[in-house]
Amino acid sequence: MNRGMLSLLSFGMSFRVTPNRILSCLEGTSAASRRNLEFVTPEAVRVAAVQLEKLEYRTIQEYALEMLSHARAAVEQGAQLVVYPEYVGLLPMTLVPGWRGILRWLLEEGEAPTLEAKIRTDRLRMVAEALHDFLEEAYLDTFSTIARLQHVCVVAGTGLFWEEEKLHHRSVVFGPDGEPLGSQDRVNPVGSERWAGVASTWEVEPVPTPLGPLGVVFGPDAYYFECFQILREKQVKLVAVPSARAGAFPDLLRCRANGAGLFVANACYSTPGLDGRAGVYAPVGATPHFDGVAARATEGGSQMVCQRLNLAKEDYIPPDSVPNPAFLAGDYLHSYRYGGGMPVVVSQEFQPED
Amino acid sequence: MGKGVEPMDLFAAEIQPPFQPPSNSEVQLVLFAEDGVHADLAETGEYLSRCAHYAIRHKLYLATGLFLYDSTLCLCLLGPDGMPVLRQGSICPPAQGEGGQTADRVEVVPTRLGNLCLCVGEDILHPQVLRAAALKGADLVLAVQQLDPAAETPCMRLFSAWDAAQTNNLYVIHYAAGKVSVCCPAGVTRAGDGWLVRPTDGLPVHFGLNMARLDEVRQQFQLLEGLNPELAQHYAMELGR
Repeated sequence: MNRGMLSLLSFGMSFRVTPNRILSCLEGTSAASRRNLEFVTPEAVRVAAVQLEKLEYRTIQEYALEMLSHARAAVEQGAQLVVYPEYVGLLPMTLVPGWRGILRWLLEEGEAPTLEAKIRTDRLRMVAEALHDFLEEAYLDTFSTIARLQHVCVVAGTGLFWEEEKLHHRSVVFGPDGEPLGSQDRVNPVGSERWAGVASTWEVEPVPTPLGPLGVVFGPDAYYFECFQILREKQVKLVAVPSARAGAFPDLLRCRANGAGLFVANACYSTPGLDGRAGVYAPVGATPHFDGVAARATEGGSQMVCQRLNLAKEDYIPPDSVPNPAFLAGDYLHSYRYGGGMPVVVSQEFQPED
Repeated sequence: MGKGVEPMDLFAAEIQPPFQPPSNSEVQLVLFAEDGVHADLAETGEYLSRCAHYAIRHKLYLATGLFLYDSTLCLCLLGPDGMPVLRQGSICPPAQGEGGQTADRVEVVPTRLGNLCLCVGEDILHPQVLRAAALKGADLVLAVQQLDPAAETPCMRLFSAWDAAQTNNLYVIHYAAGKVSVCCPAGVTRAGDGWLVRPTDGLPVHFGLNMARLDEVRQQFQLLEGLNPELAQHYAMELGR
């Protein structure tokens, strides 16, 4: 693989993936007859979390129609917000001839293609420069059109953007008119993203939607309770969590939902090696079995979970105790930068004289 | 590590009823499983003295039960020489203000078992406490929570000790309401579920802590290294200032 080869692939992809192809295939299908966002009340918000099985696509039409099928099924069930999994904007990469070879070429020697794999940044830069245009186009056009045709809010999983010589991992939220309502970038890069030098943002801000302020925390950012606490303080009740992780991750989201008193919609993959289950999590008091699970896919495979939530009901029961304010303002907040409070030096030599 | 002693990659630990001897001489760390709080000053002094003798006799680190000192709910970690290695006061007082004094720092102490930290009472319910400990390098947290068994909810340990272990990539030994659980980052356990010991009231509980494995998992999934410190700087108000 070299720069010339990548340029050639980029040239080829500029014909295979065009806004027209995406629009014509999506608009060729029937638009949603339901308009679930015409009447919105926080007492009955319906959210859907998508569980994707298919990771490889042969044409952009196949990709766009697969994404559309989930939104359509969700809207049929009354969903007002549809959440897609993390990296869903990277799946069109599988349209590139020899994409597996490119992926192997990107990894450090001996690394398996996992979410924690070490990546060669010099090669990643070449690939990003060559292919980012078509990936961005595929991601933005597909989900913007889906939101518009289905008259629904869409948290379009995440995509990778090459901006100002840096890779940005971003989730874009589209409104029912297909216009972007806002976005959230990666806050704490870990695993492969850390090795790849993905840019980090310090901004965790709610996205204004017809359903009210919406938080977006994707992938391993969910390990950082701080993101949820900040959103809670900003009057957010509903958080979308696109992810590509399975295993203990759903239990972690139960902790986040209960700990911050939030509703969390988690979209994920159900494929070998990434065998997650999409779900909607809530404070325990708001769940039928007092386990923090409002709804969860019971089986693997491609599907979607839709759940009605009462965002107006305060089911959050905080602990009886509160952290010492002196600890929060001192030792705790200092820990992020200094690993603890500033040392207090008490020495007679430094006592000011009257 | 303290006093130039080589850190141990793997060691045995136990949770025992008070003053019951460890099951074998390989045990390096014992936590006394006690539900009450030693409140009387004279009684507490005698209790701590007996704890010191226990640590010396069995040549191990010992985490005591909860006691009141200077109106502060405390835990103490004693070294194999019987000397206190760490005393930690509660940081999170009850909201009604019925509690006494509180600590305003969480301490982490380097030992040959790793960097240890004590988590007192309800502090385990507040993620800020163990986040600060993790940022100071804690590897293992010993948490004792005073809790009426009737007040325990099915998810209580998941939402406290288990969450803290996943969020901070460290071991958490948690005792509350007569039950003990040991949690660790999911990658450390074979099942990938983060439970080294699921909640049990069958004491004593014997288990091994593998610090080398913990380091491997931390290398793969660099949670604390990936933490964006500017987030706390910009959202200091939201995070508690």
